[in-house]
Amino acid sequence: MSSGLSFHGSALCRALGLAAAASVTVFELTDFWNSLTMRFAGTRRPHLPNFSMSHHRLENYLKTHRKRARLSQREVAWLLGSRDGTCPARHESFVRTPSLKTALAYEAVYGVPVRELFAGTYERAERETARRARAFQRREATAECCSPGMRDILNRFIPEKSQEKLAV
Amino acid sequence: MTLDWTIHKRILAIDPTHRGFGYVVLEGPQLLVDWGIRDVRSKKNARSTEAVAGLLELYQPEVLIVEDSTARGSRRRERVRQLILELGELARGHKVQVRRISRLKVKQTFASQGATNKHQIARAIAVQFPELTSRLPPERKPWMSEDTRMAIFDAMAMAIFSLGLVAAGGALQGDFQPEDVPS
Repeated sequence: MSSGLSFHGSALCRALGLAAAASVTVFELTDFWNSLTMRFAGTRRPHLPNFSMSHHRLENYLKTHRKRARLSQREVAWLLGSRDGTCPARHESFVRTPSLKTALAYEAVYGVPVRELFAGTYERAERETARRARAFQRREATAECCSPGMRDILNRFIPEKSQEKLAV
Repeated sequence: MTLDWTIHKRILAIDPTHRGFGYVVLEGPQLLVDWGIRDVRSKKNARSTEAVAGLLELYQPEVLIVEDSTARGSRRRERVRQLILELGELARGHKVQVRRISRLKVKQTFASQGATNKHQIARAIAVQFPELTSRLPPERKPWMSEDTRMAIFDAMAMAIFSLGLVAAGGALQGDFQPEDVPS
């Protein structure tokens, strides 16, 4: 881990044209930062948002990834095939939800899976699916009358204890 | 106050400047969601408040972090002190907790780790968040005014400090004067 950090720190120092003395400070602060973050994640800070633990994820993280990629809204619009930056701006401010084709285009542009780009939307869809799975099981009373595939899905969404409870 | 808010909550840190403010949005200690500067040239407080309201609505943070302008070491002018108060009121209206951070304590914390000035703090932050590297201003010379981009790093330093306080086991917790107001 420390070698990775040293490389990262020295690479940045070179990029910023800093003196060796300054880089020592950077290393010390890197250790300081790691001591803060290790207790949360167990590893160095990842660069993708799937490690975030906020209660309610944002609808999407398009703006985060656009800024990381250092692209303008106009450039993204061009890549998505729109005429101006209005379309990405509306997606980024959660005013509109992009079509599946556009969402996949975002994945291609940022190199991040749709599920992570639209973390909030995914979470909501997952929650609703789990709710429907529970409703399905209640309706069917036991898991025996459904297909093996459906049983797998019910096992995934419903904890065993609550399944037993439902069966009783 | 427990450890968990740092892990679970989305925080918005604001650092006012002489024309506008810098902001960062963090989710836990790891994910930097958004960052930037808002430039305001007339009716500064009203427009800044309006812009912060937009950020509160968009990101719905659980905590707003601002500088404690009444603490020792704060050298804010009257307009900015007033703005910070207004932001507190605004956050209360949105049922967002407000945490005021002493600038001096932030400096002392970073100084104990080897970063003794704003530029060194900013550089250390840029190491951990490489996406901010492009916003890192050149080192300020005595005859230069402060670059407005530094407000992003000042906001980030306050956010990091607030996370670090809790991680350090509450050694500095007494300096936190949270105004937890959600009613």
